[in-house]
Amino acid sequence: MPPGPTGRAGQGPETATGEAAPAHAARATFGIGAPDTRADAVAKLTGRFRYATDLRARDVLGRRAPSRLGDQARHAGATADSPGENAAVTAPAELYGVTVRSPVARAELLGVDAAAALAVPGAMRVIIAADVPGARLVGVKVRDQPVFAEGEVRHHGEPIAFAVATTPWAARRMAALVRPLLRPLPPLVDPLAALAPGAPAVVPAGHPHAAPGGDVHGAHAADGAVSPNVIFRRRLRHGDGARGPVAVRARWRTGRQDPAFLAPEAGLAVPDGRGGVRLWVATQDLHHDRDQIAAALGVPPEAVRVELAGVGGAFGGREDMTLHIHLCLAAVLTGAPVRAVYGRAESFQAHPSRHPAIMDYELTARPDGTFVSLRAGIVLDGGPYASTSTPVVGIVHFFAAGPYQVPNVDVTTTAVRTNNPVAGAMRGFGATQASFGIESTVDLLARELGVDPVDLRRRNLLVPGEPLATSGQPLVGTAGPAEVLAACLATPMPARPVAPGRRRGVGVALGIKSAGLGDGRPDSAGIVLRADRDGVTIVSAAPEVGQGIGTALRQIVQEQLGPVPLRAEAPSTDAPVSGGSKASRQTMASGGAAAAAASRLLAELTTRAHAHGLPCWPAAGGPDGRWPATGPLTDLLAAVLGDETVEVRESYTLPATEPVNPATGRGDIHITFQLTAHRAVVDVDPELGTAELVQLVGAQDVGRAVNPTQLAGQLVGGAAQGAGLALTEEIRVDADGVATAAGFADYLVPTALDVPEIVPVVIEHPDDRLPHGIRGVGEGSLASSPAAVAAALRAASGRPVAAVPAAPADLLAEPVAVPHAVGV
Amino acid sequence: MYLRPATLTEALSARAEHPGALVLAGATAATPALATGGRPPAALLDLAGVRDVAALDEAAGRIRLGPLVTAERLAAQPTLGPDRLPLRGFATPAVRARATALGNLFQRPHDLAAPLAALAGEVEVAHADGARRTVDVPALVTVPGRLAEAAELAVALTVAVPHRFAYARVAVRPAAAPTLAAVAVALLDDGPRVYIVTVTAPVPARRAAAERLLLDAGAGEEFAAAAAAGLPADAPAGQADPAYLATAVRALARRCHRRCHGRPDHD
Repeated sequence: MPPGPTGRAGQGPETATGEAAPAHAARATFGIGAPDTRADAVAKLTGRFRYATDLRARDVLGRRAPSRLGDQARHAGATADSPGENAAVTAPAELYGVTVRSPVARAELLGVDAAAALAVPGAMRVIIAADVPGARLVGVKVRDQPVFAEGEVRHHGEPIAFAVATTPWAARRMAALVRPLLRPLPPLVDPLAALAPGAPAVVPAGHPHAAPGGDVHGAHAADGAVSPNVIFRRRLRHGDGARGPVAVRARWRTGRQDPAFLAPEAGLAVPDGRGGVRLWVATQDLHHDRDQIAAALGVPPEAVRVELAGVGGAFGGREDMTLHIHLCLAAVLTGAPVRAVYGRAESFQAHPSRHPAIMDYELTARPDGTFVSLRAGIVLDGGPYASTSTPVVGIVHFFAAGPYQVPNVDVTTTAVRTNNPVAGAMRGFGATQASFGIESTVDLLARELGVDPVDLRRRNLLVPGEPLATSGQPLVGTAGPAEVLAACLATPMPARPVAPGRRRGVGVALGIKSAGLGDGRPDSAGIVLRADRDGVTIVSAAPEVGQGIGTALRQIVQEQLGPVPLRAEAPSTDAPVSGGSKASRQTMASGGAAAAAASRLLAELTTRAHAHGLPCWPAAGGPDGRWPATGPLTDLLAAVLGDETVEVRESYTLPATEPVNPATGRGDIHITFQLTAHRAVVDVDPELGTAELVQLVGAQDVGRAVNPTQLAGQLVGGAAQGAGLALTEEIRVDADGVATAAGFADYLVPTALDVPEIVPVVIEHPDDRLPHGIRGVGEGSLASSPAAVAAALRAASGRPVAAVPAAPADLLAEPVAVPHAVGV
Repeated sequence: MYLRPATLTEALSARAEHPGALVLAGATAATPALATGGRPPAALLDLAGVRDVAALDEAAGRIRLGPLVTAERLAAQPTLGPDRLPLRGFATPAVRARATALGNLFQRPHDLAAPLAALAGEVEVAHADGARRTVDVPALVTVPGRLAEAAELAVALTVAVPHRFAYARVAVRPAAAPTLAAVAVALLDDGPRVYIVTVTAPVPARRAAAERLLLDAGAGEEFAAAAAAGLPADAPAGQADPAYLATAVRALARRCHRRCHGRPDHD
């Protein structure tokens, strides 16, 4: 059995002083701070959790299936899940869909020949772009991505058709026989070439939103001409233009990391017989999905109901449409339930990856190490469609200077269209790339100055209240970066000795990322609490994607109401809009709504208690841990409510932010900040270039630890994912724009063997502006962990490690003649 | 159709009758193939019920393994030398406990091919008509599919008992990652054998020039250079860099040479 998540089984996360935290155990037995067992933990560990991949029509329809579905199946000769003549009566038919995808990165699509596919026994239908009755373009931020390719395919794996059949085998056979008529075109795969003003356009000028956004008149187009492929650009220049006498420059690159959630995309769509549809799907944002589906179907949003099916990880990879619309369309067109499950290779192709970044940095300082200026030109490869490129640009851009004081900054960040696979949201959302860029540059400067990299950082870190170098927004509501760094470094170094022939390196990096949407966008969530004599039901659309929001909401409700029995309805679009489980926002947003609703429910229960001459609700116990056991609370609920049900509906809006000021390129754009520091220890074999992670310490100011166990999981998981980006995880794309990852045999997610000791260090500095001081924490651990591992690799190997993941060739003691990017 | 013959004769008959059948031994490759592949195979031919297929015999300087002998069991053979056959990089512990040594030669990647080639590994192939032939390991992994065409079954693997044996490989990480380069060396009754593989040239290639230097305890560097000589200069896009592979083979060869002379990898 691998070691526990902290490397010390049985202990909780460490406190800022580096000691195990007994405070958590003593502090609370319920509510905020209690180490509750996750609501889904037992089912997942015992194999009873029903993931979306396991969902069947009979599970959601039972025996209430309309008979015409049975007729449909009989007509189609269904055999897979409806054995025997009576099957149509007792079990609903279920069809199965398989996506036909482009085998090339760019080609003219002249048509789709489905004749052979439709001859397959069990074939039902081949759906293409022309079958989409509503909007044929969708997108999570910009509607520029075809539901099915039309006229041209623009990336390897782009959906062309959806083959629907009575069995999975038949659908796969059909998909193999659908013949897209493709005339290959030369793909544009170099993001820098795509950025040249004269570059061919990846999407035609007439394409919706082909025009770039943001401040496009940036440094890359001296003559005023702009590449047709700019998706979005931000630019800011601040300060008096001074430069320090000591300067370092480098070009850094980060690779195409995949969210690589363990349960691949899956869903089930059931037609309602009136043109509408119900969809069960593993997703991050139910209402946003609903709106995009409705637009594509050409129906009002009310005609589409989306319910969360069991999610096995997301990490940003479930923000975009994948099989959602294909399934709903197939259900509407065939009149039958339709199911689809991706395999691993298809999952890699279907959802966006992290943006590969090319980052040119120049940092100057005075001889004493005080930073004077930072110049950064950052290019993100967005693939052909916008996905979340626009907000990712913002995050990279505004955290490009890290948590440092730099009086002069000149930063340009651009997302560019190419014919590479689509890039979009992934945990860290640009802060990961930014941290790698700035932290690697700070290390380079330390080397140039001959000073300790940690000392150089300490000299330049922001203190609380100071403005960020980029946005100018004051760093408030969090611990100071120096405190987070100190907490990280207080953890003892690993006891394991260095093996003969190996070289050990230690690297330190800081990270900063916002939590919540920001940028002037409203950010709110709603919730319903329903109390009856048996307990309280939570009705929330907040998707549980494995991050533990379901458990967090329970604990926030119990913080006010005491340990009442709680139930939760499956998240669906019937619940109030919660917004997505993304941007590290859900515990703040839906948690804030839960806190508000619980307060109102408490007031309502207290009023009713008074009316019945009963003790007021808090008098039955108190939020300091003196609540009685569940039994008496349910007695009180029964006495107060009788057979009545009390329902409260509340919403919460996170503190407002400003949009970026177009005149300055700056602004108070973020709700709050996640601050992290990581220290990595690696051993490198200098003869083979292999690296082994020995220890990774991750410190983060979390505001308040709602559930210390879950929190430790977030910190450990993010650190491991960061180590993956630094060491092994990359979707490789060949010179033709074809992604070659087929599975976990060639896309190397860290295993337990690869991350032997990860130590989470929790700092609790509640943000008083937020309900209960709770700050979102999900992404911070992935901001600085890759940069720390890369720094350790440099220290161990003596090599520049300008790109992650670092290949063995990049870590050899004697450099071989490998072309790779160093300095510019 | 699930076929589970009880004798080798029955297995060969079943093979002839069902040329499209997927042959199962440890069955570790079948599950992923079925989960991710297209149409399922028409039949499964499971060798697990055949008598005596899990036997390991050692006689006359050779070890003979039935088709159900696991890689783990071969790796634990004391006669392979003090290091045995290091399998840390081969799949996962769960797979190692089931996967067969012989079956690995029919998979991609066939990580056992290099050490088995150094051990003068030979595969006995039987035909339903009673014919038998022997194929050496490098030849087998060059065209593994030809057994399917010929309706044959691999019924045993034999390797020589070495006087000395060493095997070293490199991957991006120690376990559950594709081999980038590997070197296997053995001193057998008929002399030394040195084989290398790389990710771009996965069929074990013999290095005769290096073999002459294996017994010379002072010739570690020359041995390493000879082992790495002649590696392909160009590599397909996306594969490991050829210059790196040459460096890695040199380092691995140096270690194998040291191990053969009873020395640790590093002083």
